[in-house]
Amino acid sequence: MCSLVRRAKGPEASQRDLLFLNVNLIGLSSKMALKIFGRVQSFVLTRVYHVYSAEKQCLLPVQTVCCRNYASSNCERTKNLNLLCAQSQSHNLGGSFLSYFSCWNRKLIFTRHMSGVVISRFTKDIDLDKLREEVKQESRETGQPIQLVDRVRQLVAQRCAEAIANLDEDGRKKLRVLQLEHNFLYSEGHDIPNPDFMSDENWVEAMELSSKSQRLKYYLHLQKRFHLKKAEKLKKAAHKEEMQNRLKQEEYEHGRIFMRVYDQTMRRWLNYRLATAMKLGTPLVFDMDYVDLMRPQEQKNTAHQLHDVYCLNRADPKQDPFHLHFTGCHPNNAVLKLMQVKTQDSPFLLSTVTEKSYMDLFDKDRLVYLSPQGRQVMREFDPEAVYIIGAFNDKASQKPVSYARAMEQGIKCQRLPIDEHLSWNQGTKNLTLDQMIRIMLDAKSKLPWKIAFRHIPQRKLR
Amino acid sequence: MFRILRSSFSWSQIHYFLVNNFSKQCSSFGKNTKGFSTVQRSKIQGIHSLQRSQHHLLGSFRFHGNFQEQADNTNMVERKAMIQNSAMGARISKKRQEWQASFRDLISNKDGLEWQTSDWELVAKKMSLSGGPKWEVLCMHTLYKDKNLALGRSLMSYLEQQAQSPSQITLTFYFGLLGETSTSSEQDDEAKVIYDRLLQVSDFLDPASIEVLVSGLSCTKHYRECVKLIDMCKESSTVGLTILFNTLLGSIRFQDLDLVVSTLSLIEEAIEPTQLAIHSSKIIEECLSSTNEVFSTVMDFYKKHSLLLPLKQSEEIIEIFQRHQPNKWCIQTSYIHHRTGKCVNCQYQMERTAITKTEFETIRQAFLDQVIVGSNIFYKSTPDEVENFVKFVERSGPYDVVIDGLNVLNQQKSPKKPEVLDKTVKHFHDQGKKILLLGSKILTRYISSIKMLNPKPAIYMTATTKADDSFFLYAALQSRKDTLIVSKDKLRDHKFLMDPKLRHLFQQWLKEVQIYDWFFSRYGQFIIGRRHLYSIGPQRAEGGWHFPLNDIDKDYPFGNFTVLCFQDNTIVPTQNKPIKSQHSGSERKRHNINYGKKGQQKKRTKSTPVDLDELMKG
Repeated sequence: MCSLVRRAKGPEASQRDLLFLNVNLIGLSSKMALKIFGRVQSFVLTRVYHVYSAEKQCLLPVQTVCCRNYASSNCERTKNLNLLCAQSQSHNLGGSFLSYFSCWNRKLIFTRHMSGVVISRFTKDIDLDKLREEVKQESRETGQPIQLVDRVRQLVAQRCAEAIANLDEDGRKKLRVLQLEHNFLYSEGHDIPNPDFMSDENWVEAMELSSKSQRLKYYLHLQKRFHLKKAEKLKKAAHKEEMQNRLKQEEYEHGRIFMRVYDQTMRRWLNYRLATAMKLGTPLVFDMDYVDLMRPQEQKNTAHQLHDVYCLNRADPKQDPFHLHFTGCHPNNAVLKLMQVKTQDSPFLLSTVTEKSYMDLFDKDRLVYLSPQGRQVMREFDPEAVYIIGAFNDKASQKPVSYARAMEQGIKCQRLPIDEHLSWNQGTKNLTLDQMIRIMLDAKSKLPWKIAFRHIPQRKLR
Repeated sequence: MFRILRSSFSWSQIHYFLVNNFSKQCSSFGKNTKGFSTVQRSKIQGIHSLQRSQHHLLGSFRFHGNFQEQADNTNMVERKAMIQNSAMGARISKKRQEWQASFRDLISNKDGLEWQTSDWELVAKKMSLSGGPKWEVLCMHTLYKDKNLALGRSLMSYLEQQAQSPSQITLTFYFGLLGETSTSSEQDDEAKVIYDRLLQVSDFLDPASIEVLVSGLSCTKHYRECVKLIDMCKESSTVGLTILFNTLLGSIRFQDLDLVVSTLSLIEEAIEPTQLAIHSSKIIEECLSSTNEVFSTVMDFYKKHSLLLPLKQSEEIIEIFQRHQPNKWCIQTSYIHHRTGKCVNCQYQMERTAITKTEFETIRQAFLDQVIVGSNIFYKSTPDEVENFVKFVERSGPYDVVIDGLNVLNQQKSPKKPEVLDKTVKHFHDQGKKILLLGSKILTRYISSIKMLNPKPAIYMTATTKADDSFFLYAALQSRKDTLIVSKDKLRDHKFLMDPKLRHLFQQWLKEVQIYDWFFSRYGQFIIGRRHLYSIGPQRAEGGWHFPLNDIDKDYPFGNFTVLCFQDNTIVPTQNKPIKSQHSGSERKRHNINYGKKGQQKKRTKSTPVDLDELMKG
């Protein structure tokens, strides 16, 4: 395969070789193919079509790798060959490739390493726009790129230090007791971080916990995360070294046959779709008014998932994304703030973010709340209806919160036809928000439920 | 033996049984033939009543084949599990484990000789853990874990020689070591000196070190200090099980009835009392060496919260009894007859479970607010529906029987037939009782013949299946104290929605009125099986004790009334009464009937395939 790539990239690469390469690529699993094709990848405009063959009742992903220089003459032949290959593919390829595709456009640093309580409490009143401007100016002056997340992290650390310094007498005593306890637990031999490694943020978070065992669990978790980070760093360093060695071996100094499509171009193209959707697209509402019902950890998870939702919607393969509405976003909504910190790269969120409730925005008759506890079943995607999804994560208490809200407001409440199409293993039928948006995008493009439900992880099924 | 068995067993099973009984080698016996051994429990017990002089080991009371073997096996498994738990659960860092191992090696190399100053210096020089706590803390912790008092003292004296003041943590571990190994009052005083010194170092302590301090203090005569420590712990965080349990042990040990009572009430407040059940064997051990009053107070607490002794600890408990009062007890696994409330072994009549009228009133008043409405009424129902239902109950109540229609209907596999529901309703209808049938809209298909009955039973259908449980409980509570509930649901979620103080009352009321064990006889009659009419809780018989065991499993989700029957040899001479034949008969009938689950019965009657050759070899 590698030799093929090398041949293809060489100046005397014939059309046949390229074609062969193309076919071979599809023959492999998408991720592996992209790995091998890594260097060529960014020169190739990849588009994914989902061809639904009625007889087979399954989704056939067809990948057309169009090379600008030669696509026009051989396009039809390539397509045919692709179709042939695609028929022998596993059905899931489209999904995994898609997820890769959507990740590709993201260049974000995850805020995952920031702790839960701290971030939701101390980021509430940060003015992100102002901060972004400041960061931009500073990076212009110093000439070094500064990440917004780093800046937010600094701010949070600063505020934590302030909070610790300004504790009242009871709080100070409690902190002292906790430090003693931590020291004691450490000398008992538990695998927890050294007292010197405990930061102010960690103490703020530990002070929220009420019992000794909870705190011990938290410390253990901290240490585990520390180990994981360390391992990840090592792995990354090793990988980088390997890649550098490989690059040295395969150095090629002649011109390239593929045209590079830059990230910015791609983002502009995707954002154009989103902007169109904001004018004409089908609305999809995310009810953000659940912040008080979630624990800090869950708030963080929700923000992550919402960010995924935004990206997945933007990278819709059908190029027909939803018009996302984030309703009930009170100022200082912790989930929204976290999400904004995450989408630092793009200065604007191409979606409607409003303080109003969805009841004020749309007719009550059109509204349909999607909840796993809903009584009615959603038979098919209704383009007239406005679907509402609760931006809610419940790991601990499994209460029918969204269902209760729909009943309270007198809105139709539906559930996805999961029981009708899948045999569910044990566990709740709650889906994460990113799974929901994938299913909804598929449902909107009138794909059958069975195919839309391929996004539900296998472990949940029997 | 053969004659008894032949009537009901297939030949392969008998062979299996005998091979197991005599060769005592095959340990998988219990697992494979669990079904038949439970069916024939009473018969097998009859056989064993001949060997009454030997007491039964409890791990194997279900599979009486080779109990010694079984017990050994379970012991091994438990030990393994414990080792795994201690390694996995505590998550001790690897470095630390290696250090401890090397320190222990060093101790064993010394062969019990006294440690000199030079030895400790060597340890101090060579064995410091980089980035870890100080070496003396590490040593003291290891010695505390190993309960090595002599070395602990030597280390302490070394530290004092060096004119270093030992750190707070070292002192805490040393105190724990002194306290837990304390046997004499001199050592108690020695520990007390350390304790005072600790308090001088800092005026407040953290919950983790309080845990060690309490475990040490509770063994000394200064156990009353525990109360102060608990108060100190309360200021900064919640009080854990370990602290409370150790305080309880201390108060039992020193026969302080007031402290026992106050600690028990503290346990009720601070934690879920069921957590205490896992420490039963230790508590009973301390109780035995204490006074009778203390013992009965603790057992009353057990009875109040219907705590059951874990099955795994039953052997240990028997051993404890025999060690403390040898030759006094005749111990047997027995069970309470569900109808008469008598222990089948000693014929002792158990008390009837009943809650008083005022208690019933308190549950009734609390139920609507705490369970149905809760934090958000829309979780279960809507305000309109609740209001409707309340009015409906006022209009058509009070009832004698409340039937959970969906639960009764769902006992059969699909396709569901309406006969099951019909028969259930008719059974109570024929007795002239006023019935409420509760279900959701699904029930409309199945109630056509019920509507024909005269007088027509009250039927109510809720909009969702979420609310029906709480609705029939409400209806029953609004009716009378003795209104029956027909449902096989354990209804635990409703229990935990109640106020912690009312939970045990709610549980007791449910036990009294719930009909969970019903079935149809082969002639299609509705028959009520067991009911929890009599308490099986720890109860003092004349000169003996009955301890309930936690025998809840898949076949008996409500328990099987198994108790440990302790009889005093000195007062009551051992009776060799045969077990009531009527009971064994009903037992057999109980297992022959169709539960509505066709598959289950088939499985039971199927004989387990046994490879005879393989067994013979074994």
